[in-house]
Amino acid sequence: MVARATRQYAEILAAGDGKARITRQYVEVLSDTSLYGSGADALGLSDAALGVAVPPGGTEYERAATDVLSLADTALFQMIYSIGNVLELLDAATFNRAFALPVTDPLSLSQTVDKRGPIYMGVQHVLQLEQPVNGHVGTVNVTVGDTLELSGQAGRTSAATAASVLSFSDSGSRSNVAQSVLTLVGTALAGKAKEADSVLALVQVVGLEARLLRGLVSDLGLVQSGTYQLVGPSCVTHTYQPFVGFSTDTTITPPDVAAPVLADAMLTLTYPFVAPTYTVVLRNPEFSNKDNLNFNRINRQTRGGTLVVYADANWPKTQTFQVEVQGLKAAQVADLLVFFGVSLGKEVGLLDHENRQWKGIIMDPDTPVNHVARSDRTVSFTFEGEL
Amino acid sequence: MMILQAPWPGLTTTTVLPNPQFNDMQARQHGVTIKRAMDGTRYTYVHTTDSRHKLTYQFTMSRKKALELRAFVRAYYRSQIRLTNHKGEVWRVWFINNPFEFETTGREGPQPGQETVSLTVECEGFLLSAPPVSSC
Repeated sequence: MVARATRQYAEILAAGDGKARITRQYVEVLSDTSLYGSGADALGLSDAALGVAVPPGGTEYERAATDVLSLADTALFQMIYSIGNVLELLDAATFNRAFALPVTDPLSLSQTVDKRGPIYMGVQHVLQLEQPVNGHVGTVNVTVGDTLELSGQAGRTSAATAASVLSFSDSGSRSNVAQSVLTLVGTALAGKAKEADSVLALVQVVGLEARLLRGLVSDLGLVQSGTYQLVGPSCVTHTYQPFVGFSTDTTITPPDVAAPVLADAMLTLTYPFVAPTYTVVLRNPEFSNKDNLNFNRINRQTRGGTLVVYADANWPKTQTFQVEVQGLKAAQVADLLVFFGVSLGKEVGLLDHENRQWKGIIMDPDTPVNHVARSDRTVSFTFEGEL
Repeated sequence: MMILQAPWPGLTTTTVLPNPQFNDMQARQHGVTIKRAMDGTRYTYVHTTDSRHKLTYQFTMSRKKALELRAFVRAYYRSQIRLTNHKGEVWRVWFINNPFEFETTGREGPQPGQETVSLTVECEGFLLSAPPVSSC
């Protein structure tokens, strides 16, 4: 491009005789472009207001640095053409004290496209605002805000779209609040049927950490129960006759009403318990055989002397059967000692003298056999198991 | 006779036992520790409990009744029991002896099972009601 100064004005300041000094100067530049050319103005303005060192307790005078610039480009072609204004404004205010100094860039962008024929055109403003506030010392109130007004208008009488795309990105540190206020106004000015839509899509995602299900339980633990006792027959203290009533409490199983069936039998040991291959038949035990019930229970006293007895239903309950057999023959003793050896630590079967079948282990396989008299041998052992 | 009912308080099962043998016992559960200082002063440290008593009964019963008591113990060894003893006293107790040792002591023809079983029962609990104490 060839620039040519068409007009030029100068203001001259002179103080009497001597030297003259140009204080203001206006220059008009006329630029012309040829076919398929482009017109561009590049102008750099730089103003500096120099500060003066302020003595302690003194006053700093207000100074201002302002650039006013108007750019107007016009392309006169009727063919495809483009218009663009690239403008950068940079203001910096540096201060040492916590005075509230505004840094403001007022910017107006105006683009106009005149329609010359049935072609599609677009008007778009791309504006990026960034206002960082850095370098302050101490606690000051800082306000950072972006005020942006976008107005899209489509004047065509046929299908047209006016869209405003706006993105907010705010971040605040310390106790500041990050807030985005968004107002969408869509106006359709066409004469034909046209809808004005403001579509705002908000997406909120909450990360699911856990899902906890809580059931509502209203159980007072009320149970009903009843018992009875038949008074009259004297044999009630001798026979198997528990008086079992009813109860809605299912945590405890009452004893069986029917008496266990007892019969006569010989004391018999078998191994293995299933499909036994070793069998030893002994005489029935002497009196003083013991049938023990052993339970795991907590039986403690608190510091205040209250007795606490507790046992869980699933805690183990052991039954032991202790017998002494006399009058054994040598062959029976030999078989018994062999039986103790082969069934060591294994489950064996025991049929007691009341014809009850037990399954368990022999607790003392090292029990001695005493030869107390001629053809009289005695052995006692303890059996742990269940019926 | 002795009446055992369980579980307390929702009584469901009643077992009637014969009267216990002599030498039944009833005792408080308090304790005292006596210390004597160098100058001969006697100090006592007591361990008090609530109104709890320990009861000990020894029963001799038929084999059938022993089986019934055995089933009763297996069902209610972890429950409180309502006990009505031969003196008419009503107690709320726990079974505290472990193990329960059913010992066949001898043969007794007229009784069912034709055997006699001996068992010692130890209980600990509270007196609920008692008849008037006799003067003798």
